Amino acid sequence: MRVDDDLLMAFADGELDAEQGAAVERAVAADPALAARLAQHRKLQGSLRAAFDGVLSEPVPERLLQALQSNASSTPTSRSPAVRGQAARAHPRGGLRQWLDRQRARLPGGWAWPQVSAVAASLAIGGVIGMLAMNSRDAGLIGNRSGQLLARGALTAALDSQPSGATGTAIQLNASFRDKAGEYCRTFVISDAGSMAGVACHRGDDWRVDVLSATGPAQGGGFRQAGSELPAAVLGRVTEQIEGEPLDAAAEKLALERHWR
Amino acid sequence: MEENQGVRRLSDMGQELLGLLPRLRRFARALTRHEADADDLVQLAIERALQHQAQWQADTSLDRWMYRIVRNAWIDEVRARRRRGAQLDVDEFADFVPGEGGDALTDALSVQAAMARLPEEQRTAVSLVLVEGLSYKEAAEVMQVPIGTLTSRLARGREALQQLLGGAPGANHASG
Repeated sequence: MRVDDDLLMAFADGELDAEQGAAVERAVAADPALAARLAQHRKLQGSLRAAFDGVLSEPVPERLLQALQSNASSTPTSRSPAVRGQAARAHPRGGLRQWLDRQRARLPGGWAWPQVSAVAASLAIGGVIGMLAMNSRDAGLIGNRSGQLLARGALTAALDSQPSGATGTAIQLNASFRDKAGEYCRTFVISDAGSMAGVACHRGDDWRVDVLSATGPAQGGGFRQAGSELPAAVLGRVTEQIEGEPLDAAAEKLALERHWR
Repeated sequence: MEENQGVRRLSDMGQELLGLLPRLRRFARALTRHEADADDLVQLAIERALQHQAQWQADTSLDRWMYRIVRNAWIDEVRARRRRGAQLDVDEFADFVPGEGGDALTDALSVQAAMARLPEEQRTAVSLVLVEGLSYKEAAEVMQVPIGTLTSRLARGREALQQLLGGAPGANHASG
């Protein structure tokens, strides 16, 4: 079989069906020159991926997240522009940025600005949730009741009673807010047990875990502080579900004392 | 609340776009070479997508639709720069010597510089298939050209890259 460049390229790109592919494979095995050309194709592809894949693990710039927000801000809510920090921009509905800014501002010791991990953003929530839940189920932090993930053990305890921003614990709470259904929700980061973050909302006696996402891997270098980042999937969920502003420290304390009811 | 169906759908799309951002940024980086340009492009594409989401047909996957928007936005930008008579700075790194088994960063810079020297259409084809991993059919759909056109751009782009990067392609077959 004569294998021209077009056919070889199609083979390298995985475009051939099984029969054609097998024929090319046989031809390549029998012809060192052909094998060398195939190796060139693969090497080029490898170089290209190596040259550009780094982007995938970079944090997504804030302005792109803002651009996504622009649709949320078109929601015509008539919220009083009560507390606008100095970071407030001309955003009709004090966007995620502002409330996170305020969150940070009110936390002593500087809770690092949540680095949105690009890798986490690329993880589809549905796809990885099972895997992540598996990890944390081992650690006894997440349970499953008829398909609904629920906080367990130390995660429940932290959600119940740990103030947002407290550091030095394996589970950290970043913020509390009310969602559109009127339930209290909190964002959490689990530093061990596979490093993940999520949103849990209180219903009945349970904390329902609505979003669970891997936090950024350390592979991009050690510059990210473990436990201080919220994956884009989590930020996205919060933006979508939050009703109004996140609770400030006093409101959170009150909610905590009332057992989040 | 004033929340209506439109707003819900909007935020659904925003949510999906969020997951696509890393790949869109990679694609834009391969097209434009410069980080800031690439993110400008992605930002523009997000804005266009949200504005025109009614035009998105559910039978096209959102990622391909977005790739097309990014690509069209880049073509607009390239044309605008030409009209302004601006020197496209693709030659900025033209003298960059391909690394000879150098470190990964050097290699990456070489590859990026080589990509920057390809004609737009070849670079787009290479980016979609070899960087983004689209099939020929999908890539042709994004570029809105027949598959034959896509594969010939891809073949020429590949060959040029191999030459630029010093790996003699050994093109015994002068294929078209």
